[in-house]
Amino acid sequence: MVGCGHCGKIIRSIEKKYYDKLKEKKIALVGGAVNLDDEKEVKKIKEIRKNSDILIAVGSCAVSGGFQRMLIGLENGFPQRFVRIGDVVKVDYAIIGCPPDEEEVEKVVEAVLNKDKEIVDSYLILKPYEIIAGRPIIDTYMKVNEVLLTSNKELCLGCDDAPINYEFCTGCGTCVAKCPANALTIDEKPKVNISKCIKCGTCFFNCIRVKEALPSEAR
Amino acid sequence: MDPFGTYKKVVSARSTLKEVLKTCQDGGIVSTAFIYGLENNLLDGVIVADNAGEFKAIPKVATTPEEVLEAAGTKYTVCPNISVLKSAVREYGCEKIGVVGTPCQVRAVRKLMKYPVGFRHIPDKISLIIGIFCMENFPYNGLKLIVEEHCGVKMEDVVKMDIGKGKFWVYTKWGETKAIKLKETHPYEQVACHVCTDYTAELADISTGSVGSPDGWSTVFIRTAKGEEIFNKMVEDGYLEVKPIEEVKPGLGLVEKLALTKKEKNMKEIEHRKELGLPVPY
Ligand SMILES: Cc1cc2nc3c(=O)[nH]c(=O)nc-3n(C[C@H](O)[C@H](O)[C@H](O)COP(=O)(O)OP(=O)(O)OC[C@H]3O[C@@H](n4cnc5c(N)ncnc54)[C@H](O)[C@@H]3O)c2cc1C
Ligand code: SF4
Ligand code: SF4
Ligand code: SF4
Repeated sequence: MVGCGHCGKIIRSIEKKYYDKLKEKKIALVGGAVNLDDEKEVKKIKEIRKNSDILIAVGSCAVSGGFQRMLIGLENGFPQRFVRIGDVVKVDYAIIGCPPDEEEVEKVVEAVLNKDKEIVDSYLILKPYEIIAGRPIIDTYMKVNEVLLTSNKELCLGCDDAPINYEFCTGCGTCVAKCPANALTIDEKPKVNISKCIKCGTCFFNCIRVKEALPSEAR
Repeated sequence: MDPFGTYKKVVSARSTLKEVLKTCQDGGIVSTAFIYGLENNLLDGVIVADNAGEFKAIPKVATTPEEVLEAAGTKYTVCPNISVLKSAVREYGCEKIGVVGTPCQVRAVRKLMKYPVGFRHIPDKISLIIGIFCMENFPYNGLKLIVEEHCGVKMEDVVKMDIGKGKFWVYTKWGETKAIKLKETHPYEQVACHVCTDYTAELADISTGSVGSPDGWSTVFIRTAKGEEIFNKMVEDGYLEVKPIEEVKPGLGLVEKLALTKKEKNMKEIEHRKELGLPVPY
């Protein structure tokens, strides 16, 4: 799909390492956002879904649309809209990050591979990735307000103004420390500087109010 | 319902450091542990909530015992401690970090240690997590209203605030004490706290709070091997006095009662929200 290529590199290196196992279990790793206005691309992602039992979206473009969402533009005179893979087909696990951590991607892949063997453990590890995959992040942490990225309301996918609904925010500050673009500032509640935000979703994923599988093995 | 989460041991304790006892909230456990850690090279930076003036709280990376002392005492307002975690590593160059936080902040630290996206090499630098008990917190504006409108004290005159015995207490620099019923403060609580079910910072290495112990003492849960190690060392080296929790009043029963009250009340709120079709934490 459409991305900067970094996630593609990570995916290739993991595919190389786990080639046989991934094939056997019909697990697909996909990076990049989907260009809704590119018929071929939409067809391709639907095909990947059809041919796999488990689909893992890798990286923010794939999971939330990422910074591709800001690239609402014209190509050959036609508008292009970039959305997360989950808006087009069902995604089973989603790994956020711009770029994501290769070790983390590997951890998820291993957990998926071992799911039948070490049920409880894998379940705990995978839970948050499943939650993120199941929800249109755009709905939950991004709301369309009057400030539009383009002057065209129909094309706009919405601007973000906070990682999460303030009603739930405890002001812990994690999202601020995690943001790779330094786009967040906080007094009591985090605020997004829209012109810096790369829409990677890291803040949302890391918010404690997004149910985590909390470690009992931390002890 | 499990009121406290996992722990190895619970005791009542108090600092022996005079300078801590002068400024700390209860038994001075947090400040003493951080000072002990910094002095003995177990920690090289700690994240605390500094008083930015008039009890407005801002997070600070403290690297000396003096800075820890300056930030002692409870600020009953939101302080995004975790937001400076990255700068503790990247700017202050800390490799052994101590963090203090409310239960939600402790959960945040555990979560980011488990899912380190965007945070490479930072999780292994977190050496000690101290949690403080928490029933609820207040946005600064709310706190100001409580103190100025309800207690009739100017923020600039306050030297200490406290919650205990069902009341919200304010102590002024003129030596006055004002107290109002805790009930009067409820409307100012942070809404996000109403879906929080952790009272005793269940995922910390060490959790502490005033409830359960006599005035000037703290109830301390030692939860992990890490927490146990530093706590035992502090006792051995004479930084802390300890009493068995069974021998103090009001004792663990009260902590249990409050922890369960919080859990039950807020679980009910979550259920209620579900029934109304309102969003709940995912
Ligand atoms: C909002 C809030 C609600 C609380 N509710 C309860 C309660 O219901 N029952 C109970 O027993 N105890 C409660 N406490 C804890 C209690 O007030 C003391 O903080 C605790 O007993 C530690 O005292 P100490 O003397 O050991 O610590 P000290 O040595 O005084 O150190 C306290 C440490 O906590 C840090 N701190 C202060 N305010 C904040 C804040 N807002 N956010 C993060 N860190 C902070 C300080 O920087 C300092 O390092 C609450 C604390 C807070 C902040
Ligand atoms: S605010 Fe930061 S972490 Fe959140 S989506 Fe934007 S760039 Fe990513
Ligand atoms: S991580 Fe979540 S709860 Fe913490 S400050 Fe950010 S939005 Fe608020
Ligand atoms: S009640 Fe819960 S959410 Fe609110 S400040 Fe305390 S620990 Fe955080």
